[in-house]
Amino acid sequence: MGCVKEIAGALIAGDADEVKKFVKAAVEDEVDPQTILDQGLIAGMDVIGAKFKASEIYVPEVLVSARAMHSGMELLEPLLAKTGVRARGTVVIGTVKGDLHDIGKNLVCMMLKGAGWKVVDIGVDQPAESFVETAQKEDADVIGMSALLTTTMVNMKQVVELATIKDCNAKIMIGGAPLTQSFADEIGAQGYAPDAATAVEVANGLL
Amino acid sequence: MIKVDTKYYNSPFFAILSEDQLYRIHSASLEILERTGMDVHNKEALEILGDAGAYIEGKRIKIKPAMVEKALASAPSKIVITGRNGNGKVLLERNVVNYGLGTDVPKQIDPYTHEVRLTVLKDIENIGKVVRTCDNVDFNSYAGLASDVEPELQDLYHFKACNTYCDKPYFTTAANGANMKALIDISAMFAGGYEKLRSTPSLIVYQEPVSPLVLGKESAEVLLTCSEYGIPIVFPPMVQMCATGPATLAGALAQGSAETLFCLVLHQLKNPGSPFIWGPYVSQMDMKTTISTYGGPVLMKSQAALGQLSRFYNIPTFGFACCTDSSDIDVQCGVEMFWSAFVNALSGLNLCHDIGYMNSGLIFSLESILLSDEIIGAVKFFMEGIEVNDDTLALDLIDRVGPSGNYLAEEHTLQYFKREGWYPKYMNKKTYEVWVRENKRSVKEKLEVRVHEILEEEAPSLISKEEKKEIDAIIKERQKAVLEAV
Ligand code: B1M
Repeated sequence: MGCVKEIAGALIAGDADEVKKFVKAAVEDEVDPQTILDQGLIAGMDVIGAKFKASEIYVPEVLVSARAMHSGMELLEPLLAKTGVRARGTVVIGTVKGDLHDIGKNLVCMMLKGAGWKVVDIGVDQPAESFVETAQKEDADVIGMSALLTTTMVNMKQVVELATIKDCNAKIMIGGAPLTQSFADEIGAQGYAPDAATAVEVANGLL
Repeated sequence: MIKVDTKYYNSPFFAILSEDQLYRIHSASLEILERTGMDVHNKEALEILGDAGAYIEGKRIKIKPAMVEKALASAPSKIVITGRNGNGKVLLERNVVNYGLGTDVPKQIDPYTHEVRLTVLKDIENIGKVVRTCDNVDFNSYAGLASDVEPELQDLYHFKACNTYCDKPYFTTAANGANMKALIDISAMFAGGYEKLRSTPSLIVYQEPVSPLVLGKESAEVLLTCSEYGIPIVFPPMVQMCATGPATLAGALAQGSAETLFCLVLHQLKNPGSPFIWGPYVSQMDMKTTISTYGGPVLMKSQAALGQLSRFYNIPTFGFACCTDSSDIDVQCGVEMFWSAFVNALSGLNLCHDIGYMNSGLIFSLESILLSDEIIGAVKFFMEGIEVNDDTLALDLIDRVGPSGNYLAEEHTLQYFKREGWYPKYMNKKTYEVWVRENKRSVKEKLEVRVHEILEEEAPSLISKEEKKEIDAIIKERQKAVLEAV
């Protein structure tokens, strides 16, 4: 069990080699893969996420830790697949129709991946159909939409409506500079995040 | 007696890069264009570039240095924009700095409740009202996004609202080629025809490629339409270091410069000699908060470099002045607004826009226009330098007043005190006791009071009933076309 704590520590330090070493050790000690994932990798990334949210660390440092997490995941994935353990959740994410802004969305993708989510990024300028169809195909837990323009944020409503029509039960999370919680409430999106750090918390909360 | 070999400066000067550093950045841009190229999502643009001898690999277009040199040679080094009624002038050429507003801010600080809320059309009318009163603001723009009109036609409604009380040169974006054409139609109506509009344009258009290295469909349409009609256009990529460009300023500048040069080439191929304003936005993405910074020293370094680069290219350039990342009229706002206006002037940027931008371009306020006006006034004053001649040295006067005398009642004082001094409208110059007695009024409060005065003053509409009718007809026509398209 000792190794699990050390995994989190190495991950917080952004040391991919150490993370791998401790994951390997934990696997050899026959620690339950779910425990390695939850109490090692994800617990470490949760600390990183909180530090980032508090402006204590910078984006590239978060990404270094996320990379360390992925090197641990590589070892763990075959075992997780065998025991039927899934990623934290699956999110289908994109920028809505008419909108080409993607930096914010890309950051949210990186943060979610870092936090243990399976992220399906469908890109920019995406119509409602592609959000909903991809979500159904991937059996996604969450549909994430980004919009940076007041002229395109209105397109989010169509996705919410189409999801209802198509019986897609993924929860909807939205974000982007012009958006607000009240806009999310208005269109019936279950989650709104003003920044990438909050996006992880909100997504986790939707599970 | 003659004094020889004396050199007088009319203004201070400043440089951040040496000639060799400039050349390396230029050369790097050429390499990016020839080696990496840009993706182009517009058919006409692809054809024009292909016909001119660019290397075509599907959507990826690579450009030879000779094409860039040809475009640089045909682009004008001087552009004049005059307000639609002949009032106000923007002169874009070497060593001339103009200041004005930017476009498209989604939220406004309400001038009465101070709540941050979505912009409405009335706010945009009010912007014109305020800009009209600002002597140091050379061009006007809508600086907001009216949330109470159809999004597809916002730019047309903005034109009408923003120009109602102000007829300074107008800076605008256009959503697509068709809206651009409608804006040209409206402006041609004021100018008395398309030829007149071409010879004395009253508007400047703003559109953007997508960093890194993509030219989108609609923005290419606007670029080509402006080129065709001879309407001045600025086409800056938004290079955010660490995100849409390298983390290093040199690389980000080279990439932004390459993207702008690419668009210049296309623009000049469509209609050689058409007016183009050069200059990317290159700034830092804040790696703690992920905002795209509009205030602070990184943007200022890039602005300084871009001023030099544009003089090297001898094409008017774009600047970012009086913008801030702060969400309030506070100390940070004052610092960031002041020194951006200052660095823009020192660097000789020509079309310095976005004055009054707050919260990195997401919030706007009427007070921030007035604050910018005051700041630009101070910068102008500084840039006028020091006049050194017999009269200003005042040696006879100094001798006459002598030790223990004073200069208060001197004719020379009366003659010069205003010109050689600076008198702000809003900054506090009162003694502490007087300031306390007058309720410790802050700069912010004074700005608010002045905004209310301006909004409540009667202001004549500068668009006649007949002109309004014509604008409405053009908007209606676009409305019909938009409806038919869906
Ligand atoms: C799913 O769950 C979630 C959860 C959280 C989510 C989320 C999803 N998505 C985002 N978040 C949140 O987390 C992220 C990380 O913390 C945050 O993401 P952000 O995206 O907010 O933050 C990014 C990390 C950094 N921020 C950014 O990347 C945006 C910066 C600004 C300067 C900006 C940029 C860079 C660009 N732009 Co544009 N641009 C502006 C922006 C001004 C601003 N200050 O925001 C804005 C958004 N742009 C604007 C405009 C007008 C335009 N832009 C346009 C184009 C561009 C570029 C392509 C040049 C470029 C984008 C390049 C790219 N690859 O993305 C045009 C539109 C093109 C189109 N069809 O999309 C054009 C129309 C300009 C023109 N006339 O051509 C304005 C919007 C006005 C409006 N309508 O609301 C604008 C506010 C600037 C301004 N004041 O004029 C949060 O919002």
